[in-house]
Amino acid sequence: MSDLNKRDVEALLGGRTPEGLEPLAALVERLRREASLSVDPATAKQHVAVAAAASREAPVPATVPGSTVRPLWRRRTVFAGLLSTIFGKVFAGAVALAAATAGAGTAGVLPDPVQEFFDGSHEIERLVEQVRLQEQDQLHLQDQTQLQDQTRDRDQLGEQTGTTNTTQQQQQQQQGQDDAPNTTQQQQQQQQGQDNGTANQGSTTTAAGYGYGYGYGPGEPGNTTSTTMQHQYGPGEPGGNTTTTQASYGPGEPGSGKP
Amino acid sequence: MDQAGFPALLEAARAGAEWAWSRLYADLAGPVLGYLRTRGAAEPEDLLGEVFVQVARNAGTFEGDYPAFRSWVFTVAHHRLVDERRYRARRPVEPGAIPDAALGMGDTEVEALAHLATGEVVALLGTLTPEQRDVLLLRIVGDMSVEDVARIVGRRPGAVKALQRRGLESLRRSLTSVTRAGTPTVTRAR
Repeated sequence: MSDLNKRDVEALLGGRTPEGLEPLAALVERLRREASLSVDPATAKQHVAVAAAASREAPVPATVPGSTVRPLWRRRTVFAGLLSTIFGKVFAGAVALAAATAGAGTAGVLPDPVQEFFDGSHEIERLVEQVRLQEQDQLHLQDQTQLQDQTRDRDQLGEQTGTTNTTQQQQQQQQGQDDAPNTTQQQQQQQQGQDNGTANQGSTTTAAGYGYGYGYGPGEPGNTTSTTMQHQYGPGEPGGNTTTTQASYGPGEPGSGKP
Repeated sequence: MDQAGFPALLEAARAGAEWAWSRLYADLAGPVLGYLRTRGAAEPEDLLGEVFVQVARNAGTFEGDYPAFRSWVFTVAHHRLVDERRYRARRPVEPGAIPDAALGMGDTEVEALAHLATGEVVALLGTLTPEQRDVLLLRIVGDMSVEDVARIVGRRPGAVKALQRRGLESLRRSLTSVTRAGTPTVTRAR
């Protein structure tokens, strides 16, 4: 007895009768016919009623032809399937926590440590600005101390060389103030140092007198402090010394570094 | 089944029309019940009702023609049958109950096949392995393609073709022995 080939198998299962396999084909046909059992009419009626009721209760999907949007119940099923996995639960929890934290942080109702962490970038900027202002104050104090020392030294020097006429001093001071080109030049030089803004911190520019220029940063509004100090030693008469000191601390113009 | 009228019939069935379900039931209930019974379902008619309830609930998601619908209904029936087998396997044996095997009725499927009209067919199918019986019944009774059967039983199409060929060869040998001896051989094929 030879084995069945592929063609014989397909013929038998397709309801045809290959040559020499008539008994087997008859058996397959009997199986096909007798395996299809009739159902009790009462049972069949009950099954049909239950199936019809189940189909009416089932959610109706979208029937719009060409609609690419899944019906709501289908989307719910997909979302429920995603949530049924552990990764889905973790992901959904993380998203919900991040959203809740961001909202509470924006509203400022988080606990203090968390809120500070949430506002960390602003706090760091504020601390940096505070340190910068402290450094500026220290530099101002140092300048003032140096000016006081220099003034005291000059006064002591004047006392040693001779008596200074008050009127002459005033005249000399007036001359020094009227010496506009000299003063303008110093201010321009100081201004150049301030506008440079690179290595001008603590730099000293001296033309006819002493000029101290301090420029900080490229000049945010209110962030620029400039100090202008002029020490002029007028020609005066012998024994007369004139000292003029100007110090200005101003917010400056935005971005220009001008005092 | 009128192929051209199937879309309208399916639409009416989705809407819950009893006449539509009566038509579908009349076409499919007999083969599905025969498949469930020959595969050894404990309560095949109850299982048939459950199959149609599940089909009705999911009819909205089905897309295809009548052969595809028929294949889908048999797929549902096969899955329900597997669920019932697992349920029966987990159910503990009641104390004092005598196992069927001890009474000489160990093979539930063979016992179920006894309900068929012809004892010869019962005996011949009993000679097949469960996998061969599954494949041949789905191919013959369910009128399903090799690919559909492969998807249902979870095997490759090549494996399904091998199973159906070996099953038919076993039936052929059994028929030969019946012809010679006058009684069917009940030795199970390997």
